[in-house]
Amino acid sequence: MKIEENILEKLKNEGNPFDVPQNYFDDFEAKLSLKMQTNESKVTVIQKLKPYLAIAASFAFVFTIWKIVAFYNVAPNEKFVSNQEQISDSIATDYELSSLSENEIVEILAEETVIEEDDAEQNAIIDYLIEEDISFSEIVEY
Amino acid sequence: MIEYSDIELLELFQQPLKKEFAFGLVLKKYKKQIYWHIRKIVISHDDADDVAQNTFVKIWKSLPEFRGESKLFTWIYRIATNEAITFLNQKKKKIVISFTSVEEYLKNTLESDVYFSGSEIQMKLQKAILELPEKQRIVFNMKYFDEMQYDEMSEILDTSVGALKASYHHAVKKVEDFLKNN
Repeated sequence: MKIEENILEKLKNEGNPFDVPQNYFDDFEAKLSLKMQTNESKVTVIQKLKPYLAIAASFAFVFTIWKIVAFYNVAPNEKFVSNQEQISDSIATDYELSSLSENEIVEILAEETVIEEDDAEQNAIIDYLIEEDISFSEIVEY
Repeated sequence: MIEYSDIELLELFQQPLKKEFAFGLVLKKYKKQIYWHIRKIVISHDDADDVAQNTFVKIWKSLPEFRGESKLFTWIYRIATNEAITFLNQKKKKIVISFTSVEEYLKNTLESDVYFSGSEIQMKLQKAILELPEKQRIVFNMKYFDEMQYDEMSEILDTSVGALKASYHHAVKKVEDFLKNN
């Protein structure tokens, strides 16, 4: 025990076994000052941006609230009905087309063209009646 | 150059125009002591440099709130010790991933430290100290190397004098055993 105590005493007198780079303590203040300036500038940038970030956040909040209110203002039944109509139309069309042969589809398309042609004929008649100034009562009498 | 007492430094710091001058004097007075205190805890020079710089940044920020309930010297040491322990705790979290202990990391750092110029027996002593639990290691360093008084250590480490004496006694025993058996 005494020998080891002597070792510890002896080692104490040997001095500090650790070193530092040359001029480390001379440059310590300058390095610290630079670090403190960097920290302060980081804080300043955040502080400068703070009011703008707050404004942006409040705009985002108002917009979100407005969107939510607009969504809930539409009558739920209306939304349900219009959605259902769209879905059933789409399903029906898909189902009808898938169950028809190519020839049948061509025929349906031709019929639609005929309907469009009929519309054109009707438009021509209306134009003619307007041009000739023939009233509805004259047509009924005729 | 005149060495100011802690009370004089605090009085200077209270004067708005002399605040930076007073902090400069605090730095001059304590930078070496604080660096070496931290270095013995974290071992590596680069880590000690980082921790010491952070310590003085904290001192600068907190000094206006310092009410003088403890001595400036013990207050500064307490900040430095806490910074060093926080650093080691952060290291522990990172090291968990690599399956090594922080003690192992410190031992490797010591062995590869380019800023260690001690003899073989001094290296052995440092390794023996690294075998101690963290708190015991800090107590041993403060008493053995810095020859600090127990009542000052008690203020810094927030531990009773009796507990510190027991801790140092156990630490000396373990270091002696290590030196004897290795």
